[in-house]
Amino acid sequence: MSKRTISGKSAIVGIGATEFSKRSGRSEMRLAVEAVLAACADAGIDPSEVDGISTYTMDNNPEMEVHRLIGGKALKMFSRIDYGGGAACGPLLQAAMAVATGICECVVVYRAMNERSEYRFGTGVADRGADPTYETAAFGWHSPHGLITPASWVAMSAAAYLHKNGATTEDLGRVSVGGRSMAANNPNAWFYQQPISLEDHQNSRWICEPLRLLDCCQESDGAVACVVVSDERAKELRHKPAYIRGAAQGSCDDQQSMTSYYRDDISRLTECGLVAEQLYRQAGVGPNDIQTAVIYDHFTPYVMTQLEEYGFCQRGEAKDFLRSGEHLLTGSLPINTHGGQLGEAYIHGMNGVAEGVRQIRGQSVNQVDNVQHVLVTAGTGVPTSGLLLGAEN
Amino acid sequence: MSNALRPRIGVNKDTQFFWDGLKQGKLLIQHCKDCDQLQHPPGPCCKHCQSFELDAIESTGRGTIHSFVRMHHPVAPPFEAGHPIVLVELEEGTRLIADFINSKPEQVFIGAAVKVAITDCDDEVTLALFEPASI
Repeated sequence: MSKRTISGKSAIVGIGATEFSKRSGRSEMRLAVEAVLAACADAGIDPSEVDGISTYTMDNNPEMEVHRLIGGKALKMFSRIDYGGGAACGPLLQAAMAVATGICECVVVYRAMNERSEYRFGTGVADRGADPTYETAAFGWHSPHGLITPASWVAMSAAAYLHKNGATTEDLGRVSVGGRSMAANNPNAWFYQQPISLEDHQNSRWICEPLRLLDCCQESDGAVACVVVSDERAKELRHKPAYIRGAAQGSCDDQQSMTSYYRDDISRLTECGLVAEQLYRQAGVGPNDIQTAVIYDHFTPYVMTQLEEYGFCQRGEAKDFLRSGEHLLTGSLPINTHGGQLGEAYIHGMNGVAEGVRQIRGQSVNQVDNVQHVLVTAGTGVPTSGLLLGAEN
Repeated sequence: MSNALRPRIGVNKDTQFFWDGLKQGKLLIQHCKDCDQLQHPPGPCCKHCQSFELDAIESTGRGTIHSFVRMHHPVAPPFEAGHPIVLVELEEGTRLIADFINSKPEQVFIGAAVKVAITDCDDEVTLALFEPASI
């Protein structure tokens, strides 16, 4: 194994966020700046020190403008990772690499969207033009047939997963009920004090069978940012560092964007397995060393698949894991303790990174005992990414 | 049936042959002249052997439902709420997405036999829709 590694050489030392809403009432750029300034203040770092910025596609706020507005002096690394929510942990990989290699001293990552009040991903792609680009041509295999929304793209794989593994839509509901039970305790969650029952899930309307309304995450306005510095500097700052023990991206196995219908087994998320293998190798730990996880929950079925791909249960056994409540606060692996995107807000996964940091610090509203390692995953069905945070480096 | 149009299709030099084939009533699958493998969706080269020597074969149009959904929301004309959309595995082994027409609810299940129904949806768009193998 190569001695060259990013593991433990950087840490998340600041997190910041706006409120999560359905109508922020201000520009996306203002949300971005508010979250970045809050993250710097949380870290105790002057924003003028920020010399690296990374975000991901489908965010509309250019890195240079955020840097200019926060009073940045010299931006030495800026990057924008593709595939929307699948990239959520990708900027942390960029930050960890930039810090570990000495390119940057202080990297900020952010996500800021008015994804409810100004536009909605959930409305789909039916009105796209007919240009010859790769992406438009790829939509052409699906959208003329009416398969036009993220929910519908996921539903096609989910139907195969449920059929193959003998899982039911009630199992999907258990993911949703779990997320909302965590959000019920989180004053920052949109669904604070609004838990749901399995019956509520089963009674919610169909969006795209086998997915119901309560299988789909919210659409939200809001922003989240994190600050990454070296492990040496992290030890001098005010909060307990959340060390980046592993960060990875993955794309493989006839990968498509949301429509990997042509791989041998469409019930799998092979790319998550690729990320898992890298994270565990970088960090020198395995799934049994993880006390809590943030499992990307834009849609409930892919939470089940991820539990398997990241090794928390055997393939096809996520239904048993959920039925015995292992994902709840009282279970062996509490997941999405902030409420997830089903319960807290849909900030495209960056709010999950912040929750991972809170669990390391001991600041979560649903704090898990003796947290040594936290797994954070990113959007699924697309090329994806993951993060493994540690209390020690 | 509504007169509203389906979403338009982005066509490029790698995919033109497929859409031209449908206009001629043929469901085509890209074929590699070097390694003899098929692939869908098509591309500029063979994903198996990277050859650029590609042509196409005509599918029998027969296959089975590999997975399916029923789309409820949002739906805009010409689609109707609850319409089934299927992932077909063709006899030749490749898969494709298709709006599933002329079906009763009990005919939509994983493993069901289906056949192609190439349909001129409007002046511009001709699609490989699918229907139950026996209707």
